[in-house]
Amino acid sequence: MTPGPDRRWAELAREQEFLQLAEVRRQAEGWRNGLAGTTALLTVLVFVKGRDNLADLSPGGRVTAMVLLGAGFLCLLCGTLTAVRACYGRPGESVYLGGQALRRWTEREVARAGRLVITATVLSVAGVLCVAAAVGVAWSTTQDTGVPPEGGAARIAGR
Amino acid sequence: MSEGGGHRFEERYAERDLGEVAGDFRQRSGPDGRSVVLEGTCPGCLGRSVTRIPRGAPGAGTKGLLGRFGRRREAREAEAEPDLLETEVLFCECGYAHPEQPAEVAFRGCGAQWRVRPDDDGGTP
Ligand SMILES: [Zn+2]
Ligand SMILES: [Zn+2]
Repeated sequence: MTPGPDRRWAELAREQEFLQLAEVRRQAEGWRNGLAGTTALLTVLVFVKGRDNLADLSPGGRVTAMVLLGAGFLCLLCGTLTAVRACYGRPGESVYLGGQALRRWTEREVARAGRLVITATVLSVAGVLCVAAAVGVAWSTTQDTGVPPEGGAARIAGR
Repeated sequence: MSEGGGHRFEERYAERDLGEVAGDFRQRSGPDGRSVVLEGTCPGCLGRSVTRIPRGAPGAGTKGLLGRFGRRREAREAEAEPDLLETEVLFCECGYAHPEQPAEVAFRGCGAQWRVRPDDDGGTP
């Protein structure tokens, strides 16, 4: 028998023992950036809230818009976290750094990352569609209150 | 088997796969509790080969908010220490500079690699 990839995996595992800290730092950085990115999603909520037109919706339209918006926000949030997970792995994970253990972990992780990217894509698209639908509902079911748009102050006082 | 006594120091370094070997290998927990030590007689040079396999980040691992999930899982895995003798390929680490050994080797020994035959070391799956 000839020494095949087993030796290479074992050498990689041995190296990994010394590269752990750099790896952990890299991962932490990725997660930090990813989590910071999720705060940008809040602008989705602010966007609709900022239009201050939810109060103008019919009761049914308001509920629909809120549900769509909530669902969209959740989808976008989960999509972002899933994408970060696919890119940077699961924090806190550890395995025995033997060649074969590392090989099996790598095979699993490759398959997992591939699935996660698809999940993240689906979630993100669904999230965008939900938010778009919420905006659509908000625009299409806005009741004509008879108050001109620039009369925001009067509307608030009248409520 | 003689342990260290029959060490064939003159064995030339050669990277070769000895296949499945019925050796006297044992697995024990490392002193730090985060590693496993595989120890026994190298079938290649008959030296005493000691391989330490630490637990570590495979490309992951951090503390913090999201790490909690990972740590809980890790704790579960750590309870059942896997039988690495059954799954790992071993490489001679007798520590001796056998003739023709390259200057930079990951495993200082005679270059042999092998798997331990499962039924031979008392470990039950
Ligand atoms: Zn040896
Ligand atoms: Zn030796």
